[in-house]
Amino acid sequence: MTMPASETPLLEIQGLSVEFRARRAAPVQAVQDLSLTARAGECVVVLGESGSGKSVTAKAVMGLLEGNARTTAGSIRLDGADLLADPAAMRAARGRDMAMVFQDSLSALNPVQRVGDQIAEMFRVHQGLSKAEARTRAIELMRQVAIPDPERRARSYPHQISGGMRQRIVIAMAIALKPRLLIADEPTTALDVTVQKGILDLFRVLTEAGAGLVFITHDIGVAAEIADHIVVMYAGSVMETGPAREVLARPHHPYTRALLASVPRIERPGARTPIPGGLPDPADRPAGCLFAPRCPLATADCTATRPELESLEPGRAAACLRITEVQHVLAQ
Amino acid sequence: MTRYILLRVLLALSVALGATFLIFLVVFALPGDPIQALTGGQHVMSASVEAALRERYHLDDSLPLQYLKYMGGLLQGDLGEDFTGRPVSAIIAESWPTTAKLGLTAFALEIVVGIPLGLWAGLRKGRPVDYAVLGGTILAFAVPIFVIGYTAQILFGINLGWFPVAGTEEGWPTSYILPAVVLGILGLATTARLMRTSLVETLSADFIRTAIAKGMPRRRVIVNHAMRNSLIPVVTYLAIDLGGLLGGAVIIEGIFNIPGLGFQIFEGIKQQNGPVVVGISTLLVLIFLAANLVVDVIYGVLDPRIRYE
Repeated sequence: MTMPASETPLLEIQGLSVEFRARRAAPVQAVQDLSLTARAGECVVVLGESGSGKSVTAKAVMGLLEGNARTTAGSIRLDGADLLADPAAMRAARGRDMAMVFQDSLSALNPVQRVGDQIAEMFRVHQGLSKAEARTRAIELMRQVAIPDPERRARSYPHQISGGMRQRIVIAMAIALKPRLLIADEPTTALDVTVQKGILDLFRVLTEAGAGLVFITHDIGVAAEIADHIVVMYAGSVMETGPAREVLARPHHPYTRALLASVPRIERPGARTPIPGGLPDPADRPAGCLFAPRCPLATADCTATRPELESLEPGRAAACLRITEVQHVLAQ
Repeated sequence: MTRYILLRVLLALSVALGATFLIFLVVFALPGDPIQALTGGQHVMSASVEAALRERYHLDDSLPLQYLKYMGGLLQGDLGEDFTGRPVSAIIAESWPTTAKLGLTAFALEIVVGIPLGLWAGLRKGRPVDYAVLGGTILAFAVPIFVIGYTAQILFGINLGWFPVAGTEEGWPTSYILPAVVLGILGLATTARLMRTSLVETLSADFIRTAIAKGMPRRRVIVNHAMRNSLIPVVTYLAIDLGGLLGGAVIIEGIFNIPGLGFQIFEGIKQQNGPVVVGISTLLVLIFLAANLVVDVIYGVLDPRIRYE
């Protein structure tokens, strides 16, 4: 993707590595050499199986990594400011410039505080508004995320409202201060499909309003619906990246292809092909390509050499040694 | 909320009924004859006097009948009288303030020292402070209460002379501090441990992560989000413990020679003074239940999830 050198992307992650320290064992690599760019008004979907390091990446950006995890390399820049190098900038950005929407809305909300107060807290703390003003703003915001009867709902506790409604509350909290960057970690996974649709529409409205969105999911259907750009992760590393439509229509990487083939399709019953094997043990990662042990096209070279991200077309890249041959085979 | 409180009150009443009956049963089953015990075996009581006494205390009635008569009196506020003719209510009125002062002082210590200690350890998890608090509480759990009592009495009362050795002559607070510390030490240790564990657990909860992601300052994350949630089990424990503190001080009141309710129960059992034992025990059950009721209400206020719908 070409762009003028002067234009700073909203979020720029470069060479990020995160490891988990374990007691009496070697540290575990959760994310390795990950790069990702998100622009204003654009939705980047990070797609991958459970355990691929998607959520760890999200937490690293927000500075919410657990105590035993730490970033060992790389930079995370928000509007050019390196958040990893400057913890104060990270603290200042949280809530105001970047916000996060969590997967499980029930556990993400304080169980003993009314949902309206949890939203109003954003205005009270960040903007110093009075209780009444903050409350009015919170109700406005609840109306904006399409919560019916917000005056009454504001007085509810999280356990008293439905999952879809709770997720809207979590989103309202995140967008309260109009942050430029939104990170959503599987925000629709716990919801049923119709509710999921409403939440995705809400995210689309937010990106159209100019927010940059990093959307984490394992659900290819959700990715297809919302993504402008896709980053496919596997075992802590990026396998493939590119514009959503192209990646989903013509995947370059054998992993992406396998992932797409594993999705059940209503027009092709029985055609679902699960990927054989499982994720590599993060404590004992293969020396070569991380996907090689499960890849039908792997050669001896693949198990020895770790491929770099390589670009075949402008704006797209894939980490595969046999990428040219794979494309050649596909073309036939 | 009203319905919730009403339900709890009904529940408390039924427990009170069952508990008083059990106490009555136990005292009834005590070996020996209280009327014979009155004379201390020294004099022979005339048959007519003995019969009159048995009649007066309903001793010849069956157990259920005795219980019904007792409960009938209780409902009219009559706790009966002991075998020397002194009203049990007078004995309670006399010793209750002493026990209350002792119990409340111990309770205040548990709150004022136990909770901050637990918070301190919880916020410094895995650091020296945490281990120091852990070690101190284990010590408090491990050493029997009478050992702590006598040791404190000898050390601070006799050797150092900081506090009175025994008795309540010097009034509150001087005479009460030492026994209250000993009485409250177990509850204090439990409070600190509970607070610490609960805080550590709450701090790793998802909604704490949310609060941090919202850009809340650390102080607000801890005070507004972590503390209220982690207080729930601590408050429950404290209120139940208060019920115990207000009545279960038999050993401490004995060691420090404090004429409170525990002391009276102890004397009552020794002298087979059934009405005193039953009367005071019933009162203690009621206090305990009242404390529990207060917890339930506080609990409902603290945690909206358990208010009965």
